[in-house]
Amino acid sequence: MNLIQSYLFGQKILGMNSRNLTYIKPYNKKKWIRLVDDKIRFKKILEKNDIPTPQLLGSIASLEDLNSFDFESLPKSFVLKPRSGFGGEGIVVIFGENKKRTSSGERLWVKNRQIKMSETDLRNHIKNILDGTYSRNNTPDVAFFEERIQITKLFKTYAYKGIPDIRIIVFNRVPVMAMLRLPTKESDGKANIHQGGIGLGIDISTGVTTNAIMGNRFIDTVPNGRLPLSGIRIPYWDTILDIAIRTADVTNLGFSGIDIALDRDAGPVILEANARPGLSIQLANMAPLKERLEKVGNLKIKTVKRAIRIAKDLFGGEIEEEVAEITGRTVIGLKETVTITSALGEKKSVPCKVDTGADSSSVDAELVRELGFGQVFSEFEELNIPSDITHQELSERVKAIAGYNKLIQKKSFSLLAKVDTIRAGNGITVRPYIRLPFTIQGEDFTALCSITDRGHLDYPVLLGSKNMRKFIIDPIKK
Amino acid sequence: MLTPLFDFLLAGGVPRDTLVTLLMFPIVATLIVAARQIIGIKSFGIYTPLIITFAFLEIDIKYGAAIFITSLLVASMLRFMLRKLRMLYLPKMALILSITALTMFVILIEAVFSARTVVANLSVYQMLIIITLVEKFINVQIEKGYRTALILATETLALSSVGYFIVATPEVQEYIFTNPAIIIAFFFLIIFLGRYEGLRVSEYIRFRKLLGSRS
Repeated sequence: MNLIQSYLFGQKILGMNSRNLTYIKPYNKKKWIRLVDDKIRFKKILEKNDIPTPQLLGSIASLEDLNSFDFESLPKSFVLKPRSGFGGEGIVVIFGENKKRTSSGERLWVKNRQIKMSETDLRNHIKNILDGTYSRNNTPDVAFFEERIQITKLFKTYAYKGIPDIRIIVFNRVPVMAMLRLPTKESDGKANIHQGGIGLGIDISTGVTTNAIMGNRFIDTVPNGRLPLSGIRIPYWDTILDIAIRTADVTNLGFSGIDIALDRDAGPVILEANARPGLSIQLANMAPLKERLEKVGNLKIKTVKRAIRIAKDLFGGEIEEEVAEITGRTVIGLKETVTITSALGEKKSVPCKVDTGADSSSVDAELVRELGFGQVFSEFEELNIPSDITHQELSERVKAIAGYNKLIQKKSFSLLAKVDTIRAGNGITVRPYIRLPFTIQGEDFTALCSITDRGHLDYPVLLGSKNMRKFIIDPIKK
Repeated sequence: MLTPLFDFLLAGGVPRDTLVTLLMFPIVATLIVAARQIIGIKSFGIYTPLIITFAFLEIDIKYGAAIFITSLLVASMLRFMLRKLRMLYLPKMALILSITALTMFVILIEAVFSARTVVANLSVYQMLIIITLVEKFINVQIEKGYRTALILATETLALSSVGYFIVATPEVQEYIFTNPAIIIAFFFLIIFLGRYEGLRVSEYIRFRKLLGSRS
């Protein structure tokens, strides 16, 4: 790839300059950014709009609050967070409680990796939060407790300690790109990419993972394991898209990164909304983001359902490309368009039905004439085969057919490739075959087709299984 | 056209260096902006590399860089040692900054031994300015980890050094002094850079695998 090509492709990638100037500045008003940066207010707004999110268990805004806070009221497991924290900093996840209390009678909780935390330890951490250690610009902050999300069974084998989450970039109500983030040993159970988590690209239309990055490296399996990372089907995918869009709506952010976790019992829940989503999602998906943003920027989208449909139509399909890459075969649907090169070298595109039940392909007689291969009919007539054959005559005819085909070779016809019997309706007919140069979805191949009168059908060409070597058929694909 | 003003100020006892510093300011600022928006060198914001460039100009880059590196090393060590003590942020920073300031005696001793002429130039304010960088450095360490802090510090040092070599060049100083109107051009350059939407050089590298993909 030369410099100019790189530059041109670079136009499709979302960089920092363009993210800040073209998307964050005009679409995310300061007022609304402050709203999502304040995790407590954000949580309350979600609750008001019936969008699922981990429940708030209590908050501490000052040292007085801290002194009067009843630590006995806390459950066995919970998460402690700074209200205005970012990048996952300052978050303490408590997995359970020790049965024995400390010597001074305090409750003793268990953090990840079995690290114990007493009430005093928690108080110290809260003091640091209040002091603004984890907030932007180190301004004083508020600490709060929320329910801990329980990991779903599906993710247990993939995640190290923490909870995987799903990041969805929503722009102008459309979910344009998605990524599953897995916590690793390197990221100490946090799902953030820059802390060493794994990012998995997700096909928007199916919710199936595509490729994976760790740092800036591409990986195929979980670290130190053989579990493949692509092809994970994320459950509740449509619900996830739905709550992501609704969250973007209630936050009034035009361009946002919505983080969603899957709770074992509650299903998809909103973790947070980010007004300055990171850019590595492009690497995880191996797809440039700016190109997608430009596609949906001017659309007027009235309903959530429509937003989902647009996203699936415009940005789905990475899986197909992926399949094509692995198998070397192209994914096609049941209804395709075939381009045939005519006798004069012109290209003609006609609808084509993909029929896995048919052995060989067939093509409409009229189309063969249109393409300038009419000579095949005179060649066929030269053989003088009777038009109707009954069942009884079949066995004799099979021998006869072999004879005809020998004749075809001897006569060296230019177009007629062979003849064969075809059971059709009440009888049996002998049909001429022709080799035609086909192109379907960019794949070129020569198809041996029987010529029939398909004039009354919608599809002048039928692709049979003998000509499907280069393809994988997906019946759902349109 | 500004020459009469400059003459008046110089005659009134304003040091020439003061004028040069003020006039050079937009140039160094443009350099830092270009490094960020076009190349992708982040460093510690704009204030830190800017002020350190001029601190270097004041106390010579050799000692400037020495103070820069020493203070960051000392501060990192102190932070590591103080970890077990579990202190609140502000008091901890106060302790780190104070001890770092005291280690400047080492630099002073070295300066006295090597060349007496330099000692006079080792302005204590410039030294302190470089030391205040420690707070930024430690903040980044807390928020983004050692690696990022080290990268940003290296970038700051590199950027300030480039800035220093531009500002310290007598020809450049002379040129700006005689053609101060050229600064207007730098303002327009900054406006242009502030509206630049393209990928940064660092992003071309970061997304190089994407560039090779078909789409």
